[in-house]
Order: sequence, then structure tokens, then C-alpha cells
Amino acid sequence: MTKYDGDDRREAAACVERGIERYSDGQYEAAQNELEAALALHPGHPRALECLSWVREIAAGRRSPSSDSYRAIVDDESPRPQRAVLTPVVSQPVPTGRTSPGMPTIEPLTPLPAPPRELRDAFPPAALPGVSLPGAVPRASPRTPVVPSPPPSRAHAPMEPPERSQLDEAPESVTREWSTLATSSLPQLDVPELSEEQIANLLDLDRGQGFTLSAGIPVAASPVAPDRGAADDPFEEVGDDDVDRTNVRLSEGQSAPHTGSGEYEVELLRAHEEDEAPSLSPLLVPEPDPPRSVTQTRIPRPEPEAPRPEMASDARDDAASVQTNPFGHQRVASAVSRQAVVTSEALEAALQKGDRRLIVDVADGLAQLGAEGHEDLLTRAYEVVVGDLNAIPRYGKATPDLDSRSAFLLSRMDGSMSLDDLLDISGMPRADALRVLARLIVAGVVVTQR
Amino acid sequence: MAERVIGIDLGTTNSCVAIVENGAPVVIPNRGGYKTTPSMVAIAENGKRLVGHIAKRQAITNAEHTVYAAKRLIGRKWGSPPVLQALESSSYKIVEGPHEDVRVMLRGQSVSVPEISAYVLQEMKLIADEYVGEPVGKAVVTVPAYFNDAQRQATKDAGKIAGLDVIRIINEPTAAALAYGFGKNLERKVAVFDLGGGTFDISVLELGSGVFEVISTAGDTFLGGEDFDKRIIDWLVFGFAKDHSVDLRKDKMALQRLKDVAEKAKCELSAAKDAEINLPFIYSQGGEALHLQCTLSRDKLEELTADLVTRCIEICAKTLRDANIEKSEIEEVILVGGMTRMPRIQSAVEEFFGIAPCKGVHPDEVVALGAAIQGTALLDSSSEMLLLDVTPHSLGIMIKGGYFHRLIQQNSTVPTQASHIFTTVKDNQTSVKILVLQGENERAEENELLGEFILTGLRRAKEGEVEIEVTFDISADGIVSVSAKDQETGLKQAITVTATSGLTEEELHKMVEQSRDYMVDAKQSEEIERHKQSAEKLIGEIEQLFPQVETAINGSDFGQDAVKKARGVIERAHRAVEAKDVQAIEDASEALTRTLNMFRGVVHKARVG
Repeated sequence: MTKYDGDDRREAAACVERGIERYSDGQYEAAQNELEAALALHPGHPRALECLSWVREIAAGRRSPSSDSYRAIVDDESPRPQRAVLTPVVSQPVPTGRTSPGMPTIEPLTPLPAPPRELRDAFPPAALPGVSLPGAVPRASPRTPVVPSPPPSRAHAPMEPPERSQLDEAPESVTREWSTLATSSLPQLDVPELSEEQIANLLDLDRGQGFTLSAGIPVAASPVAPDRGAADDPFEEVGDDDVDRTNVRLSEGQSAPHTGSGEYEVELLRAHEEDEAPSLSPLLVPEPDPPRSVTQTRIPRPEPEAPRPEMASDARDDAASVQTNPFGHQRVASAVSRQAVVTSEALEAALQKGDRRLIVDVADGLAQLGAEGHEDLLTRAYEVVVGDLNAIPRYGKATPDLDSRSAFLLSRMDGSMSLDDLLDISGMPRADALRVLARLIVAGVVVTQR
Repeated sequence: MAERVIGIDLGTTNSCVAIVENGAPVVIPNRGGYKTTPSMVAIAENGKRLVGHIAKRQAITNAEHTVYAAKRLIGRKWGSPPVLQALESSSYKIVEGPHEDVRVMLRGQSVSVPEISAYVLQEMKLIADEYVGEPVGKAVVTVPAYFNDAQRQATKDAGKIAGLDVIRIINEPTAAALAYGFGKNLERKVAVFDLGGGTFDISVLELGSGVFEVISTAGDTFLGGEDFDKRIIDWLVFGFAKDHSVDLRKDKMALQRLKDVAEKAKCELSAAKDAEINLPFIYSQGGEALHLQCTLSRDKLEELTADLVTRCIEICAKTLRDANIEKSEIEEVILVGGMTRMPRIQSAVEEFFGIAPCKGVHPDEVVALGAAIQGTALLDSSSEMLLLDVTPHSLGIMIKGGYFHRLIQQNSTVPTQASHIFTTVKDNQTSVKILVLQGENERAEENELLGEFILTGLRRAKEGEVEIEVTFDISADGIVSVSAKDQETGLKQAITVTATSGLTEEELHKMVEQSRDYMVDAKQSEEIERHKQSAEKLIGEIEQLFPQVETAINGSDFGQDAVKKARGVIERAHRAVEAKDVQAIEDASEALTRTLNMFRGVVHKARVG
């Protein structure tokens, strides 16, 4: 018989907690130090690994701190910038494919992925030239950092360009690149360092790229979706012939295809093809003035697909493909401790967003503050997360971080018992069992199968 | 198609169902693929009835509403020693029924023991129904050889409630011997050593010329595999307490996991020398997870359970002694019950009987297989197999001084008859009270009272002068008739003892009706769920195609109309699902299928053309 945790492990856990606190305060370097200290004490500490990976991505500019859907629901900290700013860091190269007066020639943009096969089938290029790319999840060039992406959102707020002053005042600056969906055949970019003027021009260019809103918090639009790694790329088999030399941006009103990595709204822009291209679909929101540095051509698209529930459901079901901020739960807990933010409205909002992990965290937060009067809402929230009760639960990924009730529930699964049966034999009140099960599901520890 | 009959081993802890196919008996696996099903019944918090494995998996966390080992209580009278013992040890609430019978309180409802057993039998019937592909009506059910008439009748009633026509109740050792001797022409004396999950029985049978006769039977109704599990649990609990000062028995979830893992380890140790026990996150203490991880060796298990094995052997010795049977007379020992897989049990049996036990039969399945064989033989008029049953207990009356006088000895083959002449005990005694008893104790009150009657009108005379002949008659069906006749006047009084399960005819009828209704409801729910799933799948596929179809038919009035209709079809399907109307869901599914086909056609056309 062994006891799992020793002194080192306890100290490691404390380091992780401190790291999370530092992260919450925006002290990413300090957070990174604490998490590294935790790993030194307890190599393989899963939470430390997960959080450290997140912080390192932020530090490396591959991820924006704003790419945190939790903030949209529970952030009660100091006011965050209403618009994140695309301010390239001078020391960082910014490869683009545009020619701009007064700027040196910048390397061309790398190609975009082709649309999914089913959509290509539905809308053949011959019939619909320049069709927009639903569901494009560009993959970053291996050597270059990826522009921070906005948080996945299903909210469709009006798109508006950032004010120049806001751009200047914005506290957060991020490194960005015209990252692309790279294929192994694509050459690596060789980009010269930019001058201040060039950067200013690029800001104009950024303005042209527009912004999108996520759950009420405007964030910088990104020419690319975040790096999800090769394994998550749904377009691996697609060649670059279909949509070569194009760029992607997030745009309001576009179709919200199933991307497997959140809901990014994508618009296809093609450089130097203005004369050939018909006008935008009237369903698109008005574009801002084209940046003076870029000749932009708008390509007509088919009418956007209405977001379909099964798409969102599919995306959510693929737990592995959705990388969620590991600090999220802590942030909710922090909010709960201040008894400030977690309300039934927040839970309703989380339910609307459909992010299962967010639902669970907010519901847990609400429950901790006192479930009185919210029992039905909480049950509904957990039921949404658990899904079809006739489905058969199976073991998903292993986790070293469980409580005894979760472990008990896991030990009851036999591969033939339905979720409903599992709740029946849980030995807990049904509401409690639903909650435990929901947490296991969002953690990927339990997967379901009809 | 010939009528099918199933054989059911209704065990104390596990049950098994078998059927004869192409002349050979086979065990029918349950839906989970297991050949045995736990004889457990539970009522969940939401009122759902749980039977079998699912009930077992929550037995400790829902202990108050989970009934196990109902077989120990079936047909027993309130206040009888086994019931009192069960009262002390059972986690569920046992209460007295309206007819001195035993009832169990489940979620506030009083449930009779035959009903509990009926739920298990119903599950076994469902397993067989699914296997055969049609409802199976007839069954042979096995009971321990020591079961009295009331217990046998209660088992029959349970079968009736479950929707089964129990054509015969046979003794478990007889069934085991039947399966063992199936297809062989054996003439020998065999011992059936049956160590199940909750009980231990030892029986000696005489096999010869197709006749299977139980010579002697005895056992312990509170000795079985669960006692072995408890020893392992205690060992684990104390070990954990030593390390962490935590008593895991206080945590129901931990205890449930301990029970599961103890049984698993015990089974593993029948084949392996060591068993790894690993229960991660068994307990949370101060925000810290505690894990239980250890190794149990076979030697340790044998050390922990040595006294239990000894008890089994002692009962064997006593049984043989009581029946005046020499160990050397036993030519074969048949092992029955999962516990007999334990190597120490096998070696102890071998040491005691001096012969290696037979390994040609499956200990978990042999009884059900024998019951299936017997069932088929009963329906087959050409079968030459003769099955003789014996009275499990002695029958007699109470005499002066409160003693018990046997007229029919234990293990007498039925049908049988016996008479004895008694005299009055007082001067001028004009009536006698005949108390009909069943049992083995010399004291009448220790035995079971089957019935009583009074013979009046006796001649006034000195004590010992009036002679009364008392006759016991047991029919092949097990019905006991007792008569008392004044030898001088010819006056006669008689009683027929019909075994009763503790349920009145009216109660039984009501239970049968309720059970039927339950099954109808369960089937209906299953059907609704099946149709609902099918409809939802179709709706999902149609909704996926909507955007493509709408794009493809954009501008066409005809197409717009079709899309509108499709939405109407989906709406109707949703309404039918909500209303749980099978017919409406079926109709909606047909419309959905047509819509889906149309949509596929539109999409295909748009793609190719």
C-alpha cells in the first residue's frame, strides 16, 4: 500500500497553485518559473505540464492571453482591452505577401488549405470560383510563431475596424505573422526585419483584416487560426493548387464551419485579383476600407451555411481537438472565492456558447456559491455536458488527478452499461453523479459511444 | 416447433440458465456475455428495478435497497432461525409479512421474498427468450436438497410470478449428478460438494440404471464464497488502516470497490500464485488522494480462510457419519459452485475423500445443465430417465413430553407411505391433537409445524387403551396427507398438507398481474426508445443535408415547397417522440426516410450536374 504524494509532491502542487496565481495576474514569466519549479519537484506533474505548455505558448507569441473563453464568462479582473491590438514587435519578422509603397518586397503569403472535400463537392470551383474556405485551420509554419488567435466563439457581433488610437494605446502587443497552412513542400520564409514605417503600414493592413468579437470581448482578428499541430489539421490531404496565394482572416457573418478547433469565421482574400473578382456576397458585413498598402480582391462566396448544431456537437465531442485553457478552472474558482462573477446568467451564457468545459466550470462555480434556486439550471447544464444518457460510457484518457467519487464512478463502468444506468448505480444523489460524470467527460477521462 | 423448456439454477448468489439444443445441454449467456447472473435485486433512487450484474455493482452503495441471498429467506416463517440470522446480518430491512411470512422493505414498499426471486427468474427467462427468439414458458428450477415443502412451493410461486410454468422442482445435487452422468451409464455412489457464493451443501447420491437417488444431504446456509471475500476485505481494510489510519469500511464507495476487488483477486488466485490489488483514489484525505496497492498471495488467502475450509470438511464428515456412509464408498466427488475452483478446497476434498474430485463438469454451470436435461426428459415421453426425489426432512408427529416421533425418515424416496399406532396418554381422553411436523430434531418445537388437526369421539377408557393409527402419505408431487384413525370405532380424521409460500392465492394472482404489467411497460419503453433513436438518426441526417439542399434548389418554387414539407415532417417526428407514441413515431420515421432519400437525390444531382 502506498501513499501517492510525498512532501515534494505537495510542494510541487503549491508551486502549481502559485503559478496559476501569477498567470491570473498576468505575470507569465513568474508563472512559468513556478511551473518549472513544480516540474523539478514532481516531474510529470500533469497540471504543471499542461499549464506550462500554455504559458510557454503565450511567451513565445504562439498564443494570445486573450484566447481564453473563460474570460468572456467569468473575468472580473481589471478591465481588459476592448480591442486587442496587432502591433508587431519590431524584432520579430513579419512576413507578408503584399507589396506596399515604401516597403520592401515581402515574401508572398503561403497558400491556404483547400475547403473540405464535402464542400468542394457541393460547390465545385468551376461553378463558384473563389469559394470561401469553410473550416480552414491553417497550420503554422514550423519555424515561425503563429499569430495569436481569438477565442473560439459562436457569438456574431458586428465587425468593426479598430481605431488607430486604440491600436496605439493597446496594452498588449503580440507578435504576429502571416502564418499559413504549411505543407511539407512549402519553402520556409525568409523575411527581412521591418522598420517602424513598415510596421505602421502593416497596422493599416491589419485594419483591413478586421476584427471579430468573442462573447462580447473584442479581440484581434487573426489571419490564421492558432496552431493546432499537424495532428489536428483536417486538410492534410488537400493540395495547395485550389487556393494558392490567398489569405485568411476572421470575419463576422461568415459561415461557421466545423473546424475541430473552435469556431473561426473565415474569409478568403486573394491578392492582385481585384478585376477578376465579383463583389462580396450581400450577407457579408461591410468591409472596412481596404488598406492603402494592399490591393485587395474580394472573391464571391456561396451563401454561408447556417451554423448547424451537429457541427458544434461534433467539435465538442472531439475532446482531444479542443485545447482549453488549463487555467480556466482556477480562474472560475478564483471568481467564486470572490463571490463576484459566477451567476446563473453566466451559466446561461456558457450554455449558449456550448463549450462543455466552460459549462462545467461555471456550473461548479455556481454550485459552490450555493445551488439554491438554481438546481434545475445546474442539472440542465450538466445534462447538456453529459449528453445522451443512453450512450455507453467508456474509458478515455488516463488521468492521475481524480477524487474518490470520480474513481468510484469509473470503476462501475463495464463497457455495456449506459450513462443512465451508471447514474442509477452511482451511490450518489443523481445531481451529484451528473456533476461528477460531466467533469469526467470534459476532462476526456470518460468518452461516450452510442 | 417443439415446446422448449429451460433449466434454471436459482442460486443464493448467482443464477444460471441452460437449454438442451440438438440433444446437448448448453448454458445461455446473459446480455453481458456472462454465463451466470448475480441473484441480486435492487431498487434505485429513481425507483428503477435493477437485477443481476447492475444490482451487484451498487450493492454496497445502495445496501438498504439491494436484496441478496433471498434464497435464504424464501418460504421461511418469520421467527425461524435462518430468518433471525438474516435479520442480524442483512443490510436490507426484513419485516414480518401478514401470514407469518418474511417480507423485505424496498424504497418504502413491502415486497415478498417470492417476488424478489421472481425478479431474478424473470431476468433468466428474458435471457432465454432472447436466445431462443421467442418466449419460453416452461422451466425446471433447482433448489437445495434440504428445502422443505414451503420453500419449494415458494420457489414455484416465484416462477409463476415471473411468467414461468415450473414443471418440476429438483434438488441441486440431483441436477449436478444428472449433468455429470449425462450420456454415461454409471452405477456408483457420488458425493456432490457444492460450495457456492452463499451456501455450502454436501449430498451423497446413488446413481444406477438411470436412477439418481439422493441418499443424504446436509450443509450450511451461511457458508460460502462471500465469507472468503470478507476475509480478503478485512485483510485489505486492516492493512490500509495500519498505513493511513483510515477505516475504509466507513466509506460505502470504498467498501464496494473493496468487495469487487476482493472477489476478483480470489478468482485470480485460483489460477495464479499472486494477485495484484490496485485501487487508485480509494480515499481522499485532506485533499490528498490515497491509493490501495498490494499483492495478495495464494498462501495468504489460504491462511486467511483456513477455518472456512475446515468447516466445509467437518460438515462432510458429519453428513457421511449421519448417513452411515463410509468415505471409501464414495467413488466420485463432483465439485459444484465457483468456490470449488480454489485449489485449497480441491486439495482438502481430495484429502478427505481420498480421491481426486471430478473435473469433468463446469462447477458454475453443472446444476443448470442438469435442470435443462431433466426438463427435456419430462417433455419427452420417450425418455427412459427416471428421477427419484426424496423427502429432504423427516416427517412425524409430536408425542407426549414434547418429543418428535418420525414416521417417514429423511431421504425417503417419494412416493412413500408410513403408519404407526399410538395410544392415549390420559384416562378418559376423548380427543387427540395431531401436530404434523417436519425436521430432524428430537424436540418437536425445534421442527417445522406443517399442520395440525384433532380427532374427537374417542371411547372413554384408561390411558393406553385406545389405539390410534396415524398414517403419512407423500405423493409423487410432494403432497403430504396425514390421517388418524381410531382402530376400535373406525373414526377417522385427515389433513392434507399443502405447502404454502406464505402468499395467499389472491396475493399471488395480483403479483402475477403486476409482473405482467411491468414486463409490458418495460417492452413498450424499449420499443419507444428504439424507434426514437431511429427517428433521431434520420432527423440528424436530414438536417445535415438541409443547407446543401437549400442551396441546390435555390430559386425553385417546387424546391422551396419540398423544404417546407421536410421541416414539417421533422416537426411531426419531434412531436411523436415527445408524445412517446410508437405508432406515430413509426409513421414519422417512414416520412423521414422518404425525405432523406429525396434530399440525398437532390444533393447528388447538384454534385453531378
